[in-house]
Amino acid sequence: MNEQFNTSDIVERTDKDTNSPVVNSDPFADKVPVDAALIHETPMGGTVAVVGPMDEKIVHEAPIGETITHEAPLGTNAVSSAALLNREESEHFRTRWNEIQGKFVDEPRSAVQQADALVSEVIEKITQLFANEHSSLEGQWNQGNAGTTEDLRKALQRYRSFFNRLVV
Amino acid sequence: MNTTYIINIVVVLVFVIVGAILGPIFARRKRSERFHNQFGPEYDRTVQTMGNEKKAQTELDERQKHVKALDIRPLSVSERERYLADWTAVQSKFVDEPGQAIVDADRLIIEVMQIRAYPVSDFEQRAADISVNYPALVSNYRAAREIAIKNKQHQADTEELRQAMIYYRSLFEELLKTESVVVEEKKR
Repeated sequence: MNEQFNTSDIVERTDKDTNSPVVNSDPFADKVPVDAALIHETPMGGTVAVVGPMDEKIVHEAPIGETITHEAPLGTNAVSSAALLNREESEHFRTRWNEIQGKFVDEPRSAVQQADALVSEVIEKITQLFANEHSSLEGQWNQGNAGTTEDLRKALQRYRSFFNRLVV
Repeated sequence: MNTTYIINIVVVLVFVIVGAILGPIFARRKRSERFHNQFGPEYDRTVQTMGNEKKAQTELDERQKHVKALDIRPLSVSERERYLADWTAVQSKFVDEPGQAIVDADRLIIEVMQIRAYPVSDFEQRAADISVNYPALVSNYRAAREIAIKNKQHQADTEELRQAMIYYRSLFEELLKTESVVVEEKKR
């Protein structure tokens, strides 16, 4: 590892990546002092961060596209607000993130290493989620010519739903 | 016979004179040793700032009297828990705003001292009181203070700020810890 990589760099990086240094300006607030830093850092997770893990209205297990109505021309609002991870998973990751961030003062380097590992783990998790969706989706349209246009339309909607959750 | 008598007197006189010279020296040394044991590096520091040992000892004696006269109370369990949580939040905040986290940490210490009935008028007073009850930690408090001043002038780098955070915490933890210590003392 590069010896020149000092504490300042480490903070600097985190700072830029979290991209929201003022979120927790009040240390006495009861809220969790960590913002959506973790998810911000992952290229895919932006959606998760925007949503927040506590949003009760979201049906996490909902099959993709469930909330889409025919009237919604793009489906962006309804679908992009659904989180990729369910609440339990999000909370688990978030707890671990908080632990890592709290440790920074004592062990900056190890905190950054652990953050790296955690982010990788989240990305892996999302990849795995997509793999599952993918196989179920593929069954819907990739059966030779058996799929009707209506099936294909629905399949495309479900892809869009997943897409929207990855790309805000 | 006469000579022996004179020799005896001379020997006794020599003892008395040597004793008169060495006695106070030993007493002084013992006294400064006692202060040293009690205050550690803070004693040397006080000697340096006050100019000589005598003044330093008077100063430290006064500090002790001052703290003795205070009615320091321990934190309640719920207060302690609250401040522990506050500290965790501040320490976590360091990642986003190191400078502000230092300011908050300093403020938390003052708050806890205030609750425990320490007078918190100015830094020197606080450091003086801390030096009596937590002699080993007052140097950390002063070191953190120096970094905090640099921080105000935007001249402290992140590593320094991190150190300040650790210095502050060493004192903060002790300030919170007293509850159980006091209970134990009462049991005796």
